[in-house]
Amino acid sequence: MTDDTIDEARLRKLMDEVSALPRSIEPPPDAWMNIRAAIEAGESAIGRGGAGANAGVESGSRHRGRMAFWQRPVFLAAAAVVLVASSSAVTAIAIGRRASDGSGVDTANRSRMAAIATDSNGPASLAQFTVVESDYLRAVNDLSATLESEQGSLSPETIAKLRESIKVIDTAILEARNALAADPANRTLIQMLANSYEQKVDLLKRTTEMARG
Amino acid sequence: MTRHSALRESTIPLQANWSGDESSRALIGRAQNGDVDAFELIYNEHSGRVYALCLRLMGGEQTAAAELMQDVFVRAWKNLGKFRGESAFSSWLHRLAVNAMLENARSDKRRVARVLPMEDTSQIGAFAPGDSPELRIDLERAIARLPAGARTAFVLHDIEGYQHQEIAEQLGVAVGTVKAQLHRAHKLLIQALDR
Repeated sequence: MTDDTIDEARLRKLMDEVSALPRSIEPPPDAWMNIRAAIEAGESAIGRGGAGANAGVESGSRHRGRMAFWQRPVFLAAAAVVLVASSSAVTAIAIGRRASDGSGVDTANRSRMAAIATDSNGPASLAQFTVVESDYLRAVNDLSATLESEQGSLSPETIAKLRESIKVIDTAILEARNALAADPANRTLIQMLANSYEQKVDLLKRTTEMARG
Repeated sequence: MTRHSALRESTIPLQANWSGDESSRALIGRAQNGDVDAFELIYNEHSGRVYALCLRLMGGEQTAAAELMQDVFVRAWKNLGKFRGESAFSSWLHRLAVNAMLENARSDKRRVARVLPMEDTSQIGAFAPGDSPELRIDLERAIARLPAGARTAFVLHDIEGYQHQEIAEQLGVAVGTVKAQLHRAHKLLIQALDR
């Protein structure tokens, strides 16, 4: 066999192994959530291409920067704010109420998180932020469990709107965390993450209160 | 359009709402009219194959593959109106995937460093002479370690079944370049798997 020739038997063996490769591989479980968030946010990573879909090559498509738009935590956090403060009267009422803190988050940590959310300087590092993140996660779980048991008093429309809002906030949290994985000292991202957690806890808390009447 | 009311589980599949008699074309029609739930069903049907393509095109890098796959479906949603059914929907998605990969490579300077020009057939590849002869590399890993040009040609031709001309047209290169890259891929894979 010369340097540039390939033994036919070995090539056939290779092709036999190739034919046994799976044609389908399960994607990450959160992929659809990201796609849906992107669709519902109403923006695209590409412009409207001029070529037909069957022309073979999509032309006229451009990325608006290195990250696809749905990967930008700035955009997703903003979308979360918009959705949470949507025209839904019920959701607006749920957010508008101010009530005593019953979220279960340690008061000291809640104060710290509120400070993080509003402090333009932000926490010094992601490590500092994760100290209190676990409290938020616990609060979210507790509130979610309570709301599930109380949701019978809420209309399907309210539940659907709440689900949409939570989904967008969750996506913002996920994307902020992903971005922080690459840039853990980014205070802007940490503050966005804190804001998203704050929004989620507040939304769940007020909706729970509304469900309880 | 349907919505499920679960609060904590935001990704419950919609199979319960999908009529067994509803054709893919009807689903695409609904999605073209803005039905995201219908598009989710389309996603459920095609995402495995699209992800497999993306994962192999991106050299086994799962994060990059997931990003590419998600980009593909977002593009598909935005361009659904251009799909006229002249080809299989899966083929259309795959073209979007390859095109998205190429555009990402052009716009991302970091990725360009890894995506070798298709015209460059002189690259030795990732299999250095110093690799241990005792190391047995399975086929998926071997494919992932191919130089990008050879890997793209191999994945599209030998795994996805595209013809040389189709690959050349979509990548914007000569058919001879595709064949040369494919030949290199075969040589490198045989070399790796024979160890």
